[in-house]
Amino acid sequence: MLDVARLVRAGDLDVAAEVHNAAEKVATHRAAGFVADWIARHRDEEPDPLRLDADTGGALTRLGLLTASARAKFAGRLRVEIFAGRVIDVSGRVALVLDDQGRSLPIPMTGSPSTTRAGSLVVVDTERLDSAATTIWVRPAFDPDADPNARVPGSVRVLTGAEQQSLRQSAASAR
Amino acid sequence: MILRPYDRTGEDLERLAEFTCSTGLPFEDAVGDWIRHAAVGWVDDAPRSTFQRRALALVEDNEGGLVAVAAWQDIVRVDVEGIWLEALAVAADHQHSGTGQRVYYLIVDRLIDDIDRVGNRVAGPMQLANKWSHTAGERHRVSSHRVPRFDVRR
Repeated sequence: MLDVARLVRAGDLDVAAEVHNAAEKVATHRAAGFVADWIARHRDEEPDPLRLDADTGGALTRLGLLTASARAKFAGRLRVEIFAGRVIDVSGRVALVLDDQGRSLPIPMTGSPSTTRAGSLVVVDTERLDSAATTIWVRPAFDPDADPNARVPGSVRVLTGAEQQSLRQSAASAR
Repeated sequence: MILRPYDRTGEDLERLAEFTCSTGLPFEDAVGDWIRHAAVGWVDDAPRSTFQRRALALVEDNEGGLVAVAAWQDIVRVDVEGIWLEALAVAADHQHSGTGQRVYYLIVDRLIDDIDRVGNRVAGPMQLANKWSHTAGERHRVSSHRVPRFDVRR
């Protein structure tokens, strides 16, 4: 919906309609039903994405990948800078993302830190609204070159708690 | 031939544990090993098996003899929707009589036409050395994820 708003703001109404339709398709995917059922069952808790994904057998990861891949088709029209990489360090309220070309990008920690845990693969969308305002959207990464027939668990996924702890220790020892 | 779901309450556990399909090729050994030791755990691996709609099925002849074993699930990665054919193996004592081809088309036709699924792709791992599978797959619209080595899962 954020992308729909961007495209409407830019006057690109045809593409906005396409993006809206793509979002509808993802929202009605069976994976979304698994996620919604879990959230309803745990409505008194703060949703933990890792636990949600594990409890649903990978539904959240699937939804994230479908969303990201649908969005990738419109990347050229969205007028945002896209940076993809892995979170290699978290310090206070700032996470450092490193891409496979060795470029780094510091990003503010989101309200829910699960996406920006050390070791997470993320994509950062940066949109400059005017000279004073910038929006940043951090989301789980999608590998457009991945084998389309591969199955979870794959390289693009939410890391387990043990893997995150291991990466956190590696980052700490590298400093 | 009859294609039916694996029945965990009957004799199927024992039959799967004794299933053989290999003529001596390493990838055939690996598939047989997976069916004997890992297939049941794979199909019972909840909640993943529920979301991915994993299925384990047996093909029987008219006398109830076990002809083949097949396993499949949803493709759940990237932006492709369809079915992943995890394994398809013909029993060693039913090979080389045209049975393999009949089994193959029985299962793939079922996956393409009858299974409740999203998307119309059917894909599966095919060993580089398994020429028969490549030929059949190309003829039957099954795309292959070619692997140099089949990972034996326990």
